Amino acid sequence: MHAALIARRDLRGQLRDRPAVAVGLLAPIVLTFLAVSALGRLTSAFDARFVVVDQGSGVVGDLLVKGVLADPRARGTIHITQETSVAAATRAVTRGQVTAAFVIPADFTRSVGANTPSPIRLVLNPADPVGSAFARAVAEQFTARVSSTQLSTAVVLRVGQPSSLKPNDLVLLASRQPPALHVDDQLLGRHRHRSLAGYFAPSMAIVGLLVVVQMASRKLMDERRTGTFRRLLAQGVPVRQVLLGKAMAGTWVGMSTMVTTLLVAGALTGARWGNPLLTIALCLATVLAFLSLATLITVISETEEVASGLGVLGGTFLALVGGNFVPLSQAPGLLVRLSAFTPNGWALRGFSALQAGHAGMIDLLPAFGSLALFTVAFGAPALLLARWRLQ
Amino acid sequence: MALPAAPTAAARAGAGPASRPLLSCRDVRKSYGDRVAVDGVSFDIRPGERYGLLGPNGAGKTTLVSVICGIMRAEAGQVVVERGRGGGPAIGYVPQELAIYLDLTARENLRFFGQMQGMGGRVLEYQIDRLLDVVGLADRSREAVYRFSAGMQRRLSVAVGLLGPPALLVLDEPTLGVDPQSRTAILDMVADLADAGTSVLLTTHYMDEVARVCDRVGIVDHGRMVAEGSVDELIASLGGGDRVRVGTAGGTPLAAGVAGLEGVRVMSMEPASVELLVDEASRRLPAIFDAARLAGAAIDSVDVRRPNLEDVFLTRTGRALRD
Repeated sequence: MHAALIARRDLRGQLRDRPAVAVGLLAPIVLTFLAVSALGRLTSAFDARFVVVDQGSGVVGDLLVKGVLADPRARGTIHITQETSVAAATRAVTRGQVTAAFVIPADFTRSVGANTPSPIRLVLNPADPVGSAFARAVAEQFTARVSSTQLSTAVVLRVGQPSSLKPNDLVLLASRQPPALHVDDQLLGRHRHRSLAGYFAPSMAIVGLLVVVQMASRKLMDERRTGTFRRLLAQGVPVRQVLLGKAMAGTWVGMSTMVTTLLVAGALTGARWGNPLLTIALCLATVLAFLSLATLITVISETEEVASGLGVLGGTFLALVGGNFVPLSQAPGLLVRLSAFTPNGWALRGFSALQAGHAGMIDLLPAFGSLALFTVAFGAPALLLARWRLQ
Repeated sequence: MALPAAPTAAARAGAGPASRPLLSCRDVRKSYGDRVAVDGVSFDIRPGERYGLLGPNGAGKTTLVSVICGIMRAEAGQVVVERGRGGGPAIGYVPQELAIYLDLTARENLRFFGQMQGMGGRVLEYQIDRLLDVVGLADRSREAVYRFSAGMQRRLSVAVGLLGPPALLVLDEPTLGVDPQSRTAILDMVADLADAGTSVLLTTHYMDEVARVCDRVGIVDHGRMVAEGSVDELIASLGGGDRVRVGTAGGTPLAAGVAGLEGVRVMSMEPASVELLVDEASRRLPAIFDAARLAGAAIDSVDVRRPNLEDVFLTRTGRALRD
């Protein structure tokens, strides 16, 4: 009863605090879109723009252009344009309009058939090392394929099997054969960009959560500073009821931040969160872990300034280490290992598992278990210290 | 007998006989580590009484009040609070701090704290209306409290303490940080409440507040009760007489000169003045002037006043209340 009244009072006060509402509800959504926009290009929207100068290369040159660079599987990743002169292609690379230029010499097909080297020339942009490496890999993959074809042809000719085909025709025939081995990759999720929003929405919701739970737990300090805590104790309200009321209000505010961010981001980007009940349970587990941490920071801090400083420092550290700004799937190994010691790291693992679409309670047990451990580890000392510290 | 010094079961057992104290403290002791904040304090407050705890900052008044209100437990001693008639709370507490929510309106504050005491419905709304009238905030009751002046906020804080209504209103430095006009208004309000029958325990380090509001005074220093009684009794305990401060460049010769005069006692001596306790100052001042002339001490000024609680404190502790 007392706790519910205290929670209601806190929520009423927070609803009247418009900047707090903005921080709690709007900021995570805005941050999500900023993160997707800013990091999307780095993490998912990699595209290579190549310019091709075909100087009359023939059939094998066509294989490179149509069979590799314009392969349907590379659509969306490789964009090609044609140029007639090497000078124009070099200019395009220099200006950064394209990643690299492929110059296929005029006698390319003949030289392949005659087994005389006639290299594909690459013009690379030093300012784009990733794109350059990608262009080199594409070219080397093609030349390896041609080399293997030449080897096959040489073997046939050496063995001396009777054939009506001329050696050049044999090379062409071999070149047109599909590779004996190929990699069949599968991209999880329907759309890479949506998947990125799916990572950053919970990630930014947690950043917002870091702020709002600190604001909520700071109410405890307000109660101490303004004397309302003493008045409540004098009225016979137990300390645990005050703490429970604060926790209820903080949980409500934290859940509002998390759920609103996920709902809005989902509606606008099409990101899907998986099982709704498990998603809400994961949000709740995350909120409780951070609320416990914020309460601990509040009760161990002598002043509001110290609490604010610790909150900012701790929040920034957790956000960096836990993977809120760099998707864990693309983070360095050390960061991934460190993230296992943070509640947000486990929460993000849980949300990622949920988005895969087939995660159940068993799959999420590590995330739930870790978050529960963090809640107890932070919450228990906070409760023990609260009465002593708040007076 | 050492018992936990929180309000005991008697506080919840209903009103006792009229002669029984409303509040009874016996040998209350509380310390913070090595520092003893309250050291064996005992006193009673009877129904309808206005009791003042007077002492400098750090004397242990707030700790004692915290023990009385059940905010903290003492190490030893006993506190018994009788619940008043009408089912209200035993104690209404007004802390040193404002102890109200600035983001709520005056009415919402009263409603919240009333509900925390288990009140509700029409009874609570009636009390809220009445208290807003009492503290003069009825016309601003739906305004957020952060818009109020410090004095208005303090009056609201007192109103919250009056919810119930309580058998004993405990005010811990209620005029701290308010302007003189608001201070006067708050003291008038407390005096009116006391006149209307509310028992009051007022802690302060301003002796004029105690002299103005209280029937009985306990003087506290270093956690100990150094004197107790009515204001008149405490002043009379000094032995009567007037306080005469003689401003002079030669304090020592003057003190030596007047030392033998009948009805004159040197209380303290400073480089530029001597404080005397004089029986019937109007009759003995000429003799003091003569003694000063004979001692070669030129008198710059003479200030004659009746003794007050500050003098009692000075006499009992050897230092001024403001030290």
